Amino acid sequence: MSILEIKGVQYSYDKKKKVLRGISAQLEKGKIYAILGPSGSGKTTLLSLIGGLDEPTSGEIIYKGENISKIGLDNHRKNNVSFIFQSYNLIDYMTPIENVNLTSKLPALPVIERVGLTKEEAKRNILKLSGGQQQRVAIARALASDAEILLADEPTGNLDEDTAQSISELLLDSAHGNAQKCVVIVTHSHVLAKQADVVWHLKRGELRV
Amino acid sequence: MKGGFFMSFIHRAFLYVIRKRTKTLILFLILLVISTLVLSGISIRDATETAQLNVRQALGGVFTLDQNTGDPSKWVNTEVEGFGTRSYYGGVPLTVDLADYIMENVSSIKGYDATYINYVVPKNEDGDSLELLESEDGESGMDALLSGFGDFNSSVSAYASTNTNFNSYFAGGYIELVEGRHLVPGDTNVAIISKELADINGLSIGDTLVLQMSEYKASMMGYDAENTKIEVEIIGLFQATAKSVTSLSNWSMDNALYTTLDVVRHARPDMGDESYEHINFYVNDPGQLDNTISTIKALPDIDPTDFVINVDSSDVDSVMEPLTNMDRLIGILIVLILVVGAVILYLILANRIKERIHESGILLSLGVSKAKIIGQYLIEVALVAILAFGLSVFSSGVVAQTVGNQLLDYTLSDSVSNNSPNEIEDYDGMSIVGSDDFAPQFEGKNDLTQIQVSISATAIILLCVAGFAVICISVVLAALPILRLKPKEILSKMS
Repeated sequence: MSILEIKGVQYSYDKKKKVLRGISAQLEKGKIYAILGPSGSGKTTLLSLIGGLDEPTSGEIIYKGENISKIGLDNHRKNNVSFIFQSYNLIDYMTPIENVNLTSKLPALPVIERVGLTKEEAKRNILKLSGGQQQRVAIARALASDAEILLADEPTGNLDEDTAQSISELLLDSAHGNAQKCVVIVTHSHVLAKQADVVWHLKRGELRV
Repeated sequence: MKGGFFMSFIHRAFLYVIRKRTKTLILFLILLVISTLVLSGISIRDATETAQLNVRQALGGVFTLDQNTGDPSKWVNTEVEGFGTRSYYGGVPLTVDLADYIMENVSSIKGYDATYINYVVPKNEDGDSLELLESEDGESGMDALLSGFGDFNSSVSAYASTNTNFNSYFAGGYIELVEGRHLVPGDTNVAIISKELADINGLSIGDTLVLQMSEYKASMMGYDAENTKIEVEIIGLFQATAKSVTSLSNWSMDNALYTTLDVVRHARPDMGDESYEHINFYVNDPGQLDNTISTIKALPDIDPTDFVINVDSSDVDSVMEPLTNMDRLIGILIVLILVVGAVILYLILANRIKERIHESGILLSLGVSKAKIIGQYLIEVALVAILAFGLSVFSSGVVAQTVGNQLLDYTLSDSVSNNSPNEIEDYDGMSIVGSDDFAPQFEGKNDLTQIQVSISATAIILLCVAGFAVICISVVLAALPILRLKPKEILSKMS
């Protein structure tokens, strides 16, 4: 059963250059969706529209039967989706625990330990962690959220191969494990895409499965 | 579910203030400097306003009612056998009844003193002329000239007064009562003399003086000096608080005496039925002077053409001028500090928020509302401001007192150097009080050398209201350009 439906979504900058041309798709819980495509094909834009960071020029994003514009984009971002960015996007004056607490309504430490950080590392300043550790914190923040959809934009783009692999496993687990989240990953990595349940190719603003 | 571990914007604000110590310290110091300057400015302005009020209440407002002797139609010529024509002023005399009528009908007047000055020879009970005090300046040319006029240089100034409480010299603080009591309405055969004169003649309260016309003058005018003698009891002693000079040392303030018009009239029968020369009226607040004078002129039993009303605001003006200048200066400074402070604060907060575009984007992507992001920034600044404003209460106490006194020094020296010679008559460094040719002239008296500055609760409330208003406006204005963007645009800027 779909949790989110994309219905005829179009997006253009300044109503001139069309980035997305009437995209329709359905997302289900417990599945990983990988969006592949060349740079400028609209991958990140599509992710932003699903996550309520922007509004489509036309068409609808429907979450559990309701247009997210009606839910309110703030509410949608707060309750329905969580993000993982390539640049981690952690708040630098907070510890990993505090960063996770930005979204978590439950104790943060177990989640942080689950993504592979120690208790001591969980209390350090974010800037004193490596890139891989910071991305783990970002994943922990996304996992700790109640949101059923996890949106990841190039989550392994800045990481070495080993770290990227362990991050991929965490994302797989969040969809196929107990959490049963719907995970949408924008990536250039074919390795990561191969592990997805569904792979979308975005080319010239059009989506092909 | 909203509770649990979910971090509130207030918690985030606390974390930022604590973790970003350098930024917090810089903001704290800037807010401390601005708030200290604003609070000092407000406190100094309050102090000058209080000082102005105190001065006005202490000095009061004075105006003098004189006969309109400049109007030729008021003069009457009569033929006196053997002497030819004698002219006298025929207008309404200045009497106690007139003064009482005005007092009863004009509520803003707090008191009056009707005065008349003449010259009498004071003697002790044994009939010996009192030893008089020499002026510090030594014998003037006039003294030497009068030494050949018999007992004329034993005469002293005799002020007929109805109430020395409101006498211009007493009320102006140029002389003060140091023993005994003031001369008040209803007194008869009493006198107040200077303590110095009393001391060198061995006189004290309760002793008797004999006043009379000078024998030289009496013989010239065909009076028997013996018949002009009148006994008065010393009821008070005064002391000068300011230096005075006079043309004749025997008519100096140190030798002068205050008594009643009946006594002067008895000792000087040559003055005939002359009325008082001036009536000094005192109002509680100089600000009420114009209204009071208008009311008097409109009284049904007063013909305004009979009198001349002169307003003497020199005492008040000399003290008020530096305070008014200072009040104006401080007003401008407060506005400048507020404007410059608000601009500096806005620039700092705008820069601070611009630097945090990354954080704003992250929070927006996590579903934190724009209102809560602004709320966090506001609380951060408010937390620092509370500390800075709190500390400024102490720092501004020191700054305000120091700056206030320095500004007062500046405005005092400025007002002295700016005095127009037409406004205050200067005579060898003395400002003239009183217009009688032979009346003593006192040095200008200005006790205002410092103001008492205190930090009032009102000033603190004013600072907090203005400060937090500026902070709110600055934060909102600074955050608007960022928060007007869509989260995706902010995240694009981040990347």
